[in-house]
Amino acid sequence: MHIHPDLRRLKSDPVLQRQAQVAVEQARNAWLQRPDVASVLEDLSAYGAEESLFDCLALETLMVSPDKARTIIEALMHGMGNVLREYPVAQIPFRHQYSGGISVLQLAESGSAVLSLVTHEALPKARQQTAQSICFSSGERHECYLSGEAKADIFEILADEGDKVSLDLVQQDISAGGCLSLTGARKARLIHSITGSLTMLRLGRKPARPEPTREFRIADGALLHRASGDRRESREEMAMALLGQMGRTDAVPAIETMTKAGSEHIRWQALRECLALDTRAGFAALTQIACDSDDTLCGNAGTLRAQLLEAHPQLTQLEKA
Amino acid sequence: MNLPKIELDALPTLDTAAGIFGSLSEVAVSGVDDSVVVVMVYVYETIPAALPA
Repeated sequence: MHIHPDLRRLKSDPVLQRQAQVAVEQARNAWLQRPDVASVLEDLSAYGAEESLFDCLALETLMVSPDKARTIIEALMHGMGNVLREYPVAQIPFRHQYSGGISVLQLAESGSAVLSLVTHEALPKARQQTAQSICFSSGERHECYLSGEAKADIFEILADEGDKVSLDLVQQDISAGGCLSLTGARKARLIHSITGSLTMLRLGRKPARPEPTREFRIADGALLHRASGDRRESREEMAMALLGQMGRTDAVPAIETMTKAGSEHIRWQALRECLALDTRAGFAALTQIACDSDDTLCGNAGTLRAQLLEAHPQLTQLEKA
Repeated sequence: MNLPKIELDALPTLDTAAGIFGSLSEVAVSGVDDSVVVVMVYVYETIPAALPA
């Protein structure tokens, strides 16, 4: 593996690592303590705790005032730039990622709200592809454009049959100084035709119980994919699947508990894992759901229970026990 | 009681099954979605200390 000489030097020098880390953290703290940033972060914590954006004056003003947004971002870039000149390989103390011409620097997170600096770069023509699908997710998204130009396709679901929608499309030019807000799971936007690069301050907030995201084909509105809108739930599902593959029967009580609360999807996955790990415990959980006519999974559980009894007559022993 | 072992793959998923948070279909163009996806799972195992010989 190729390791840049500067990184190799940093790796072998704990004192330099420490100095670089302290320097970037000091720059971050100095930025966070600016009065204009501190008031935004105070509002972000209220907004992340379900306060209306209109009641968070500093944050709301920031998201509709590109000049104010530019001022605080320039202050951050100035402070970090000075440190990076001295320590070029210092680790920036903000969550960040770069992929496919899009960079995201997460400036702050509080509760369900996240404030990020996002840049979309124009890709070389050979790598440009026309989007075939559009993904809708619940929540609020506010964008304040700081530099660059692009076009946005704003899609709205007009009629929804679950696995097929009819879409309305409005095209909009976006450029530095502009703002865009999208609320709810019926609106989504695609950015394309970027000139150079487009940089924005983005404020997002997920609802307490996010709906699954749905991806539709633009050409005919057909549903292509559905994904959990809840990060925590997916994490639990992955952990459960891993424990199931490891044959961890000691996890059965925890998985059994998960059959009783949460979305239908996670409850059903828990039921499957429970049945596979421990037939007795899983069948008991399945029976309990199948017998509860108020449970939304009652029908599915009843069908599966009948199928299992037919395939494995030994399970009738559990009914008698 | 002699109970059968039920295979996970033999158990149906719901018609409304959802993919993992942040997942997209195969036709999604990489680069148009700027959401941040962070899903990690850690498993801590306690390994009992070896008994002295």
